[in-house]
Amino acid sequence: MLADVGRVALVLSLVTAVYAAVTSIYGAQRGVQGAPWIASARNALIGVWPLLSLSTGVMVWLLVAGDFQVEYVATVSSRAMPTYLKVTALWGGQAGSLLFWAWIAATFAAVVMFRKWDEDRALLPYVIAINAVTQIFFIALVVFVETPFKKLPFIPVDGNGLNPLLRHPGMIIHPPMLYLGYVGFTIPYAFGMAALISGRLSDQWVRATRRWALAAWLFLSLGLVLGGRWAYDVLGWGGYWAWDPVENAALLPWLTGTAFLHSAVIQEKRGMFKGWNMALVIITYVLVIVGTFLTRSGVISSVHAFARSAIGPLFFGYIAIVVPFSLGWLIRRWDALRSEHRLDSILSREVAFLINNLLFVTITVSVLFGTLFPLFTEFFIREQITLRVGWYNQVVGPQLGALVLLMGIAPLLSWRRMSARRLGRVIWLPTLLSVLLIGLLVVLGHRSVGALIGFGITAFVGLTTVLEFWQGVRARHRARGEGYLRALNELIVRNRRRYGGYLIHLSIVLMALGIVGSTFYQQETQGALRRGETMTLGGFTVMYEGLEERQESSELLVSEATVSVYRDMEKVATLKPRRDYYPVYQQSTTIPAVRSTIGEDFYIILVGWERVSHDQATFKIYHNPLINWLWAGSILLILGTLVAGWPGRGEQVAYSMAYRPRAILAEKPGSV
Amino acid sequence: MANTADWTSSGSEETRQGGGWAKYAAAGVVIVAAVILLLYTTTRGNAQFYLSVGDLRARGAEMLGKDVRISGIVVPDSIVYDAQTLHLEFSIVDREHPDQEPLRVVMEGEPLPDQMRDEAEAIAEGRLRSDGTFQAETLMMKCASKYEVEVKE
Repeated sequence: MLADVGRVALVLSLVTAVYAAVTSIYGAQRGVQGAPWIASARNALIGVWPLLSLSTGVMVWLLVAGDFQVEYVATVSSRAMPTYLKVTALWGGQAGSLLFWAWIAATFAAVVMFRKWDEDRALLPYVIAINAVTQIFFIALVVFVETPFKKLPFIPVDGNGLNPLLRHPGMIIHPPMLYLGYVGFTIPYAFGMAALISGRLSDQWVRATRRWALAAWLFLSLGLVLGGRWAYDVLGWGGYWAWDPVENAALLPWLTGTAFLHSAVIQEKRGMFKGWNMALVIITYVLVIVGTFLTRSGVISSVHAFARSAIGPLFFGYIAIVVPFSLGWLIRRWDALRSEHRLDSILSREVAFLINNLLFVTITVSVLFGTLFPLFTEFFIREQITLRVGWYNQVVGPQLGALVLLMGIAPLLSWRRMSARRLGRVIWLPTLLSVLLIGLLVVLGHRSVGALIGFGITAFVGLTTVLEFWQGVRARHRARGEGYLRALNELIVRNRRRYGGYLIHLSIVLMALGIVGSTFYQQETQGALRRGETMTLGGFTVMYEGLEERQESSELLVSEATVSVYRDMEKVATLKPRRDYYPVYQQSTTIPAVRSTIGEDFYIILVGWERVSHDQATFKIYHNPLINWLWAGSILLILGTLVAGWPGRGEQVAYSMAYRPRAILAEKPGSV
Repeated sequence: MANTADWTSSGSEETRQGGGWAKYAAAGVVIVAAVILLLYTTTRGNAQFYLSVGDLRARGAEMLGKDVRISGIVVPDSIVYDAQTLHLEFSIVDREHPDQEPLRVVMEGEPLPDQMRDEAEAIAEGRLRSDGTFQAETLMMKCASKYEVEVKE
């Protein structure tokens, strides 16, 4: 049976990964004679991929074909589901998503193996080993504990199918994006540990993994934004982030990963912060595993439910091994991670990056503290105490504000040292304009301190970042006579990393704008309306027109209301909030209708209605100012990251299909 | 070429932070202290007990009026909902002790959550009232995303 093929391929992939781990370490121990072993380990690690691909491919086939004797297929797939949803059901449940995770890990590891290793040969065996061990853990989970190919003793007529809440584009892309981000950070971690273990502590490992870290960061950012967007579109509570433990689990590695991306610049430019970077990359990997553990073990109460299983303690065990192992090597090599230079002055870009690291760490610790708080209290005082959602906004808000402010100041600072006078000269105009803006807002009646500070900081950072572009463009224009547009293009293209980074900063400014607006100025109301009756919110008036119930498909019943939205006596939209009901699953999903503009979202949910006559219906409405800047910002974030990471002219292509083990074998003893 | 493992220091005399490192450390300490203070003051104002239904019952007197979070399974046929007034009532029992007496939960002003149904898992925050009902301020239903239901024959 096909499922057996899948299972066999899975077991073989585990064996191959174990082989890769063992031979890579053995080869590393044997010095020059170890080269053929390392070459073999490399091939084995590459070989895990086709085996896992076969296994994953089989699972997808089983899901699409509807082989319901396989328990996993019966749980997440069904006859009536469209094909594309059957494919996405691969990550619709615990076992399948772990298999998917392992497959992504194998893919990334295989790609890394095709790198040109000429300059980093000392790192190779350990990179292989770390990747192999990660894969061993996840594949072992799937082989022994959460088995996707397990068969039922009977053949069900039909499967349960994916929960209707998961049948949404956002829910489809969001998990893969998160996994790509999570798994992606394994590569920088592997290189970092390889540098530690091999003792090759130049910044080669940082340079080699820059694009990997950037790509992982991009996927993780997208995963977070998509999760928020999906919650906003489908869950109907008018918000996009609830500080739920599972959300925090994805945020934590993002925080330290962002810190790492920044801090790595300092190591490359000035040979400083080596200890920080090593610690950050280790913590990021650990947080990835911790995040996966928190999400899947059910150890912290969360609204994102997973079926309870035995994998919780196993994850904990893996963490208990990884942390001492990584920290042990970090401590052992600590002396070698000394900075090549020292800090020259408080007013310097280096210090700004140092504060940057510090703030990211304090935010990470804060979020971790809040998330694990119930566990701590349970352990120490035998009482589970949780923290209300407001806690996070109060604790993390100010720190994020400080971080964003820093984002605006740091690009203005010179390397090594800058006089206060010079800083003053560049900073006075943006500061003045931002303060004026705050003053203007106060005059217009805004009183919320948080919002005023938020807008002030956002404006300041937006201005300083645009100023960076402006100064660069003007310099090119004057020096080379380039037209402004051309100068801008050349500026970005020739300094992709820097100006791509500034584009990302701009995207954060836009997102901050959306967050400040929607957090501090959200309004909501609810009520029952008879046909023709109206209610108002945020300057909008909404009138109930009618409701239609119809059979959309064999498994879906839709109840859709029609409302007209007016502003200043003029009709601006017709919205159709609805309730989708799946009788087979007895599951309904409430789908809000939204009118989106640059300035705000007008968001309406159908809560209830009178049967048969439909004379009356109840609605809940939200007014979310500025929220679309959040989504717009995320699009700019993608663009900025692509610019920052794009290979430039003259850069050597670092990947090649050819790997020359003979070159290693030909090395004379004693040569590096 | 000698086997130069380059993990010895680069040999520069500047490898130690200069004498001025004290002021950077001080700045760092200030930032960290500010954050710790922030954590402390915010935690005190935002803590709430997380109890099972049975626990809340047992400690009813001392928990009266206190901000509490409870979770439990919705008792079948106990859901009452008025869409016009947005009044919701249902009973929950402990997941681990379903035979114990259920707790009546009352919630005003929110639409019926999509996942609200018999035997769903609910997390409610609010206060125990003197009449023995639980007044919920917020109500979260467990997202059924990976909630894998038993396959029927």
